[in-house]
Amino acid sequence: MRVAIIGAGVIGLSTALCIHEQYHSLVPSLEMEVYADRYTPRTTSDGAAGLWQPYLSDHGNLQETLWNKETFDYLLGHLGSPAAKEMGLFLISGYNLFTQPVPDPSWRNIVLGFRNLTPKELELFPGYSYGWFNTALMLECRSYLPWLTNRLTQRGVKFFHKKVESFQEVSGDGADVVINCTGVRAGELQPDPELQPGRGQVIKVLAPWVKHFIITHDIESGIYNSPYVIPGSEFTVLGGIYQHGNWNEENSAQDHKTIWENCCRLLPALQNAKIVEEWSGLRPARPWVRLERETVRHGQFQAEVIHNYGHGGFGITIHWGCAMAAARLFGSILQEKKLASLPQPRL
Amino acid sequence: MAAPKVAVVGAGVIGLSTALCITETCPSCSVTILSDQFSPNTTSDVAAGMLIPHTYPGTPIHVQKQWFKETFAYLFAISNSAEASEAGIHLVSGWQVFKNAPKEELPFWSDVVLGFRLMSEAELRKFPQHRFGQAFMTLKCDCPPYLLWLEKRLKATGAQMYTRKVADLWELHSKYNVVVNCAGIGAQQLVGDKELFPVRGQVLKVHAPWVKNFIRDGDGLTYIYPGIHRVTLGGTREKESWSLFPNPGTTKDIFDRCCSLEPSLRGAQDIKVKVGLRPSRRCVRLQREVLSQGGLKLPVVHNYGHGAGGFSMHRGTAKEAARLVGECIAALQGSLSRAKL
Repeated sequence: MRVAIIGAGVIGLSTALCIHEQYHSLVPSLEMEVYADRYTPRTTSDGAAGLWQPYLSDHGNLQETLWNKETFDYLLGHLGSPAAKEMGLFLISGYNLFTQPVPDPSWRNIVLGFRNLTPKELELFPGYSYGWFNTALMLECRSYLPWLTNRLTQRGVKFFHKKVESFQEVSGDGADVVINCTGVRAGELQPDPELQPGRGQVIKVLAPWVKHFIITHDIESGIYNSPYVIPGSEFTVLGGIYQHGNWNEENSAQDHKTIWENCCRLLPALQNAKIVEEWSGLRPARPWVRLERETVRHGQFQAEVIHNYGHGGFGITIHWGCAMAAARLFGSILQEKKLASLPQPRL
Repeated sequence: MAAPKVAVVGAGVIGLSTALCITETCPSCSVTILSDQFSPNTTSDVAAGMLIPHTYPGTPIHVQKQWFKETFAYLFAISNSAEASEAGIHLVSGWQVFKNAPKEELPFWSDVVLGFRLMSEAELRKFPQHRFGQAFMTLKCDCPPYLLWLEKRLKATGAQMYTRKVADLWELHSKYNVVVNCAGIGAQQLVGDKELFPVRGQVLKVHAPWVKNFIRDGDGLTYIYPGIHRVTLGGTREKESWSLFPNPGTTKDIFDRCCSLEPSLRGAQDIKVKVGLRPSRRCVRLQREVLSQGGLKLPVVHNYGHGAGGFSMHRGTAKEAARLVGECIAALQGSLSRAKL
């Protein structure tokens, strides 16, 4: 049984690990390969600050809320383990700021210690009259992706530096199952008008006195188009750009100005922060995550494809829940092929 | 008296902040700071500088609360300004956890710090050996940056600073009108205060930049305080111990206790060990005194004995000390006018 994973961002690597962990002992013949044209530190995931936080509204998409919760609980369980540092995983607390009262988010009971901000705390942020404070998690992909890669390498998974042009390319090569974790460029493998880039730009600075994340919200501008400050283990990420439909991966001077001015207004002490790096990336935006099976046929070849892409700006937040769901889809493929004796669901 | 000359003995957080308050309330005063140690070699430099008060058994609670409120408000304003990083002042949130429920449910300072509340069950799960906890946000003054920032502001007012060991306050009589005693633990020798005693604290300062929250055991012995560049791990409270030498057994014990609160600290790098002697007393000695010798008089303002609460109370006690200096100067001017008649 050969499994090809296309894509080596947080989604591709975690899905690979999740499937391998669950099924390699049940399927002794399991061979897994990862194909990607970009590996860490050049994936979209590497540019993200790494804060676990879903969007404000789940638009009634309860499935995604459950996947978010699964991911949070999974990561929380790893916090006390010796692997946490290597994974780039740690607790972090911080603020979400609004110009008017808003309903509590779907994730209020997933994070730790969720509460409203007191008037005294709001004094710190002129222009914002309402907000939340909670403790969440950081998962820095600069560390997490190499950690995943090590776990996979130890398990005998092979990696190939290659731009896959079609599903047929890997299925024709003998892959029985293809896991499509191609993120923003999934449309190149199979057209998907629902998938659009949500371009972001960030400035990485040295500001080690900042210990809390600050995410501001402007209901009119939309998610991530309002300044945010996220302190990591080495750098602090300043952001606040979300441009739907913009494929440009070059840094924009105008966006730099927007980010810098807005973040310095939010946190005056940032004026003295040293700028270390600037980066642009394309969030793989979709109205909802595409996580489903498809049988792809081309001539005499047939492969089972599991799609797992379209995680927008919440890929890290949702990744493990999606990996587990993809693994369940993989399990059902195995059952159909009668390749594994899996416990039957109880009636 | 055209330009009253004030000498401040001591250049830790108390000496420097008191000197600064004096320049604010008495702009015509000439202020000189004399100390055998300056940053980074003061007791203050060893401390984490967390604004979590220590309760003095001998001072009324409403007075301590006022001192803390003033200090908190002063530092809060700096933390929100462009000077925050230079001054080393930053907000930090975290948890104080208890193995047994604390005697008082709400400490006197719970409404001064930000967002004080009880920890949820989910949060307590992270601390399996503890059954009760409080969550809040407070301020941290990193040293040396804070002391260096105070020194810079003092220099801008024209205040002078000299490295000098003052063995007797009377040494200063000929050159200064008022002496302010902020000698900390040095006051034991300097003024023979037998009520002052050291409480030895050993700490580790480590590189662990992923630690963003503070964690403190309510017993006050084990704590993890993330600073700008280093995390302070503590500690000890050894009464009457004068040793400034790090104890390797204690280092291991502190490290183990902190790792049991925060396991990721096992990956901490570059561990530096420091020792400080908290200048402890039942109450802070904050009072005027006129020393007499022969026919000579020397007005003195004492501001020492802050023990474990130096940072938490520094600005509040400095302002009170500056007020007392003002009283000394007024008294001197009064007696000068009388002398003229």
